Amino acid sequence: MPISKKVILIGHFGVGKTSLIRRFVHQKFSDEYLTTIGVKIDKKVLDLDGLEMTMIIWDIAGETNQNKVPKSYQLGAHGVLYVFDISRPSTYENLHEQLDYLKGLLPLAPIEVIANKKDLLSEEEQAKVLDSIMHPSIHTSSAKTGENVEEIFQSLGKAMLG
Amino acid sequence: MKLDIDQIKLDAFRSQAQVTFFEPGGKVVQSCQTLVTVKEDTSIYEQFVFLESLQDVLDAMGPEDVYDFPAVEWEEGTKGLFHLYFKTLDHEGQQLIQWAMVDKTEQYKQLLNLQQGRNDKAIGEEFALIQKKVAEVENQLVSFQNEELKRVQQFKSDFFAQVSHEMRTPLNSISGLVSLIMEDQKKTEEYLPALQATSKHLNSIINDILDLSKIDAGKLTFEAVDFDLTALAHSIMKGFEFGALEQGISLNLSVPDEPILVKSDPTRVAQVLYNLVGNSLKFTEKGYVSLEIKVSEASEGRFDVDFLVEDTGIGMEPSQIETLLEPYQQAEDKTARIYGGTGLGLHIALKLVEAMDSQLEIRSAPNKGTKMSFGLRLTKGANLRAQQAFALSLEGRKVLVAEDDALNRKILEEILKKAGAQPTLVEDGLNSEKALSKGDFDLLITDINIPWKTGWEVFQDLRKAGNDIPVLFVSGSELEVLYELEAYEGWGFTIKPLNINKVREQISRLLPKAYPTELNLTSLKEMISGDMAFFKDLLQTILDTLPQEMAKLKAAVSEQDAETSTKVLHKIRPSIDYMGIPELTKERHWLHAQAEAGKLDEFFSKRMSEFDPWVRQALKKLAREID
Repeated sequence: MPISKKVILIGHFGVGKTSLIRRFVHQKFSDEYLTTIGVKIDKKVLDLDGLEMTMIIWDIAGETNQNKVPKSYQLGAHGVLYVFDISRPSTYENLHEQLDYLKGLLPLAPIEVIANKKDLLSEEEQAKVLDSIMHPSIHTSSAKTGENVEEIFQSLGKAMLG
Repeated sequence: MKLDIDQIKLDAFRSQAQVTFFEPGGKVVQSCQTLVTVKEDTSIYEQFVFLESLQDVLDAMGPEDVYDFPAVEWEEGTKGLFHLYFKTLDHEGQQLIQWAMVDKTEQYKQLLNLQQGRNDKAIGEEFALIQKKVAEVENQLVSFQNEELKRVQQFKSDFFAQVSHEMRTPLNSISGLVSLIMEDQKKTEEYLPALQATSKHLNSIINDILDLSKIDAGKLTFEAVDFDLTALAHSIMKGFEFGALEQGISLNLSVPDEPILVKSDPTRVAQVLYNLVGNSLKFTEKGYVSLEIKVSEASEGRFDVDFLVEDTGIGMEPSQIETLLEPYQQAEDKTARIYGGTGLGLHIALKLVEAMDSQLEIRSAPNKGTKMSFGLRLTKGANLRAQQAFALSLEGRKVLVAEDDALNRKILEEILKKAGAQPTLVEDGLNSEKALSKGDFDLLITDINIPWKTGWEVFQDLRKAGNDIPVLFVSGSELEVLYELEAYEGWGFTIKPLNINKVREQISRLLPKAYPTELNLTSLKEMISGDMAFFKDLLQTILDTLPQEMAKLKAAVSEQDAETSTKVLHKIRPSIDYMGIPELTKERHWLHAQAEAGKLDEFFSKRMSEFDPWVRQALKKLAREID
């Protein structure tokens, strides 16, 4: 029986969390923005170098500050994907503060930081944004094109195996 | 009738709620089936993924723990928006987990509209703010560009006003001096030096402007010729002696006594030093200006040469030093008014030093003088004496000069006559062509821009007609046709005003030296017993075949093919011997012996490189014999 892990996707609203899950689980994308109410879960079985993992993915409604999200949504998460929109500064301006909060809440869970919507900026513009954030490891992704999406979930899956 | 409010409430919400009890570990003890089907005696975690993902948390719940999930978009067994909460309870001594689920689907649309509206508005506002910021930055950029454009325009207009003024002054002087000479020609001798000095000054202003445009366009070119840096430094300082004496400033030169023989571009090195020393002198009212050159061995075949120009002049503020990077500005406008000049000299020196892979360092303070230094790594040069011993010798060579400017025509005529050549002078392209069709010239020296037909057009027609006469172009500006000329051989170029040494250098490069070519056909005539028709046939055969054999010989030598070289040198023996030039006969004999011995060494190649033009010159003479 495959091991089962709870993964939460959090970040500001409109950064593309639901789209990343749709792309990862269903290989679909829509440009239309539909907000998530509360939480919605999905699951996918991953093959991590021969090891099967059922990833139960919690798509948590976006908030500008994570302390507005009911703690129960975050409890028991084995891994976190913190997503921001690389084209909207407000979604990464408080990144470090948000990450500190999450580390305090889930000290054992690996956290991957995702700069989504990379398709909206040039390579040069992306580099400028990433330089300004000063975080050692940020994955860039595009739910629209699918770029890096699978890799990010794989990476988190492996990190959760420890 | 008793009103049972609790019952009414229960009836109203009964259909919207479900409660399930399960043990830690997941086994379902009891459940209603109002919203979703829950199997009893089966693990709840196996029935619902949502709960499966909470197993760790739920199994570890304490008596006081309550986990509340106010809104869950549920898709397991039914679809809708539900409020879920979990708490523990003690049932007959056993701890159970109570899972309650309340249907909020009816509120979904309303919640969605509210939240969607809030998010859309916030995102819209943020994008509007970003766009506003971008527009502001763009406006700032446009405004900055306009400012910069205005600044550059102002610089240029100031610069041209300054340069025009600078040029007008010597031009007026020249015009005045010419008028004076015209009024009284006896005073020519008296005014000529002033006229020359003023022309030189004007020339230097124009050269500065041209240099600057070349630097701007990245078109600077550097020569690599051998010269003595010590001698160059002395001659530069000599040029400033008179001015320094008049200003009461002492001029010091510190340079090694022995010659510093280097291979570089003496014109550019001199230009830098002239500009630096000249600039120091201009801004020094008392004290001294010095040039110090220090040389050290860098590596095999290289020198490190350090240059330092020091003065006790007015000096500069750091901000003024920075403005030297602006080509169109003197350090201060009032400086220009007091000291004159275009202010280009120092900027040009700076750029030339950069182009020579170095950096001009300027240390200065107001009223404390200025130190300007740079270092060059230069290749060691050859001893110049050997080169100087070689003088231009054009004994008996015929040279056509096509030049419409009388002064340059005269200079070229003098250079040629002194070298023993026979110059023919014409003033335009048509006469140049006419002369070429009549006479047998060894060299054409032509100005590019001459009336009726340009030097370039004459050259093209010559090459089309198969005439490979060497051509030396002279021109007042860089050759516009340089790119097209690269497809041809046998041409050179020198810029006006004419530098006699450069003209000589170019001529000696273009014209191979004159070899002994006095023909003696007596033995050939004797051999054919005076049959002149046969005699002509024989000469024609030599003219036809010898160039072909020479081509084969050159190819064989370049491929170091001693066997073929020997064969060809043997084969051409009758043709060479029939021409009756003893020195040429001897040379072929030597070359043949060397080739036969397999010694196609450097010395052999050098002798071959002279043998080839020698044979061609002899053949030219032979061709005239037939005519």
